[in-house]
Amino acid sequence: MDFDATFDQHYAPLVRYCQRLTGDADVADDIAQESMVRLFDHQVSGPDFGIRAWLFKTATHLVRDRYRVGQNRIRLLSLHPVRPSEPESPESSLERQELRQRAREALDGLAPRDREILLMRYSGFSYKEIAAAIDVEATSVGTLLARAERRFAAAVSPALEAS
Amino acid sequence: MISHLDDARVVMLRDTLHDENPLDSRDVSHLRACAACAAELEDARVRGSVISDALAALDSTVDVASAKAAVRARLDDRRPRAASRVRDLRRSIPIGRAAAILLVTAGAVAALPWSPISPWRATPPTAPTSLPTTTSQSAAPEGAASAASVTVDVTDRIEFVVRSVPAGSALEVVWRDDTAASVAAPEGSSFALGAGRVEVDASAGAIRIEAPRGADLAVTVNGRTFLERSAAGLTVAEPAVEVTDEGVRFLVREP
Repeated sequence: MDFDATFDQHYAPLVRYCQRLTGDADVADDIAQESMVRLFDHQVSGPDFGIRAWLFKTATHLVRDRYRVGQNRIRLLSLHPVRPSEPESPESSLERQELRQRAREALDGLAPRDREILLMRYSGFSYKEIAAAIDVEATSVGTLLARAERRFAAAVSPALEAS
Repeated sequence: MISHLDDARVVMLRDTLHDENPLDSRDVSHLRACAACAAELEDARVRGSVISDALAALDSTVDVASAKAAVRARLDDRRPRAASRVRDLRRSIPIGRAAAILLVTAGAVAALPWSPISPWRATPPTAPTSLPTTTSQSAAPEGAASAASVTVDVTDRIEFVVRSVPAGSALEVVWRDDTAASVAAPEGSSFALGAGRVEVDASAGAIRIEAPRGADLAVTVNGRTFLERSAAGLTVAEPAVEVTDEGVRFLVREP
């Protein structure tokens, strides 16, 4: 498995998934990096979609295990300091901030499993892949996803769901 | 009477248009004939767009290059260290000498009437048998204030069945270069031994399992197989905190 190619292909989507899941950019970095370390350390091999599913599943389990940010984070921060996001205009920054806050609250309001299903779906995973990653029946994914979508959308955009 | 598509079918139909979900021709036919369900599908598309935008707002810049360097450094750091530890272990305890020490120790312990090993070896029961615990200072797992342990000799395959382990507990499986296997668990844990089988009802705290490096084995925790080794090789079935040449470390998850 080519380290650079695998990293370039999978790391950014993985860390974004972790950011959305945890709401903490530092923890997301820790978990995504730990998942990558395990991938190469365990010498996991297979097609790209299999690698991607393995990484997201591992990251999901790490979050579920209430990943503790201790010495690992301190060490990682020394190697990988957090950098500020790109600058935005004041108007778009304010709108984005409001939307970000509503999205965060909406995600936090979901049950953990619903949150994982929603985020995996919007990271491009198929229903079968979601089912395999979070240990639910494939036939249940549609129902769980529809419920999670409605709850999330209602919290983010109440006018949409009221219409 | 018209039976409308439920939320799940509408969402699946929406996603069918973009990926691999199989189309159900009856659903498609219904959608063509039913304005209400067609409107629901359009709503689901709009909802999907709103959700995508909201989730994208949570994203921040990802510094792939720095992360890559950090991961590479961690991988480079752990490989030589793990190999070095294994070499040190092998140097410090030659296999033949360790086996001799083990046999003498096991024989002496088995001769004692209250030994937990003697009844198991003399008449191996087919069903697990409850046994008293013995205290071992040397095998105390990290994080446990005090520990109880049992040690057995492995002749063929060994299976460890650990129950009642609270989520968040550390569990490590360490390879030994001899034929002994042991389980050390926090004080208050109870042990039962059967033919090729060690069962533990664990108290809260860290658990350490030691097993011969090449032996066939299985480790089951709270009903889930964590680790298995057969002729086909070693399978780590649960996400591990660390896998090295010395062993495997887990953090027990909630069921």
